[in-house]
Amino acid sequence: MKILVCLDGEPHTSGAIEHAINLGLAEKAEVIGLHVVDPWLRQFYSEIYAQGRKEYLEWVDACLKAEALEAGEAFDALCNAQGLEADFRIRHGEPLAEILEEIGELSPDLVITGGKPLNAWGRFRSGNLPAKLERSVGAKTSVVSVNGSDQPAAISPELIGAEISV
Amino acid sequence: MKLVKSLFVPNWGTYVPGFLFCLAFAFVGMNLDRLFRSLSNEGVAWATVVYESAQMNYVAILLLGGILIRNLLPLPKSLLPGIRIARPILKPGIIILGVHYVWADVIRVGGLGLALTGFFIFGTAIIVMYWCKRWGVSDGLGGIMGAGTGVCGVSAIIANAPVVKATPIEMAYAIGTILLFGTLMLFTMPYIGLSIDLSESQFGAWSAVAILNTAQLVAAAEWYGTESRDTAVLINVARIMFLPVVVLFSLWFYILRTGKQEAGHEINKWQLVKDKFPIFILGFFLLVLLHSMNIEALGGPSEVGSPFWAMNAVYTWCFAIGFAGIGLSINIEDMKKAGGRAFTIGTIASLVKMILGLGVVLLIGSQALRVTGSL
Repeated sequence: MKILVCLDGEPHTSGAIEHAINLGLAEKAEVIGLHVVDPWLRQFYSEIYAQGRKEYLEWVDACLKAEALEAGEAFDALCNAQGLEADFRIRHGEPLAEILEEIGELSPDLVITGGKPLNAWGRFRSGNLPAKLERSVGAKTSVVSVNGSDQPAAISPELIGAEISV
Repeated sequence: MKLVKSLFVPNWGTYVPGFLFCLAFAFVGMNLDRLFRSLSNEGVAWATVVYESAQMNYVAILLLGGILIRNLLPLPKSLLPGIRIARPILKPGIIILGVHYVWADVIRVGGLGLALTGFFIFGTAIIVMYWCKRWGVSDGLGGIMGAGTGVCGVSAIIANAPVVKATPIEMAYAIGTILLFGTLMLFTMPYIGLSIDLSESQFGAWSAVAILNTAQLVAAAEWYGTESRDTAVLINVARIMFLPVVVLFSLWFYILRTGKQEAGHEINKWQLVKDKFPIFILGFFLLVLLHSMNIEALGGPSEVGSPFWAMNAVYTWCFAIGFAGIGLSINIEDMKKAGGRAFTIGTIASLVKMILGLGVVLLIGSQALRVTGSL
């Protein structure tokens, strides 16, 4: 059995990781963590009067790398604490498309995502990725969304600019 | 061969399809404008409604058409890089617009604009940054919202984000908010202006101080009329000249004043000002200078066949391609990122700037804000 757990580094994904670990240990399943680096912010470097474009791109890239590193470290720490050996992957691009691509390559039996408890407006704004994912995956894969807390995420300043080895 | 290769940016081919699409869209928009205008002049009722009452000139066609195409049709992803680079084509258009001004305009309207923008930019930036500190908003978000709502929207966020160390989520909230309010103001302010009989020069000044994002500002002013555009562009040039000063202020307010500067990472303030200075406005002022010198060989924007006349014809196309890029870049999904405290700050700043700005331009009056373009 293969379980793919999607991580965005925010606190609400810790519930999804715990769920994946428990299932992985119970079913002796292979657990893979996936973090997608969304380059949405990069497109604005070409704003009409933008000054310091290179510095902006370098800053955005460093921050996104730091987020990915933090997500990976949190995932590793939780898996190690439970005695589970898991794989961690990073992809770059639009999150839904990249998760679907990973599902296509990996063919997992189960995909677990974190989810925030959102009202209708919140679901409209966020695009409700878990629901879109559920609609998009084939019949062979099940999608589970685990609700967690709604605390804002913070990046550790020392991780900005750090190197990630994947 | 090496020399030829060095003239092209890496992956230049990825920009071609989207840019050609913008060119074609601008061509269609400009010709629809001409068609509506000529039919309206001939007295065709529906064309008069479209062109005169609904103000569907080439700006509105390209912006509204672009938004509809981007958000309702499955636009191929291969077009997006080219669409993104079409927006800055506005810049050469603004430089060329320098031929519309003489130094007397720059001193009179530009001087007034400098005072207006100085008041609104620093007023907004200082108040937003100060209140964000008091409300416990992070330095990153406070810094980019202060610069974004004060100076020139997303461009200012890009310049200030690395200085105040804004995180990706803060940048996403701030950019989404600025795009949302910039777009709302673009489509509401021209109709508000018409409903209260605001003169073109007053509308130009109002849009230049109130509209949060520069792309939408130029579009709204051009949509309202040529006098409006001339006033707005001149005041906007004064506005973006303040960008390095606001970045420097943010550096002092968030980093130097609080002693947060990392040891061994001295910030070269002069280099910072140089990096953030919009050099292209020097081109604009060069053309103002040449026009003011009344050089016979260069002619004027209305002297058919002269170099300045030819440049003036090119500017319209630069604006049309730029507006096609802006319209096709307005993605509702991007504006949905607006939220959190950035949304509250954006709402308050936009409303205050809109109301206060309108009051100020009504007080100043039409004549003082009018660009004459003649010596």
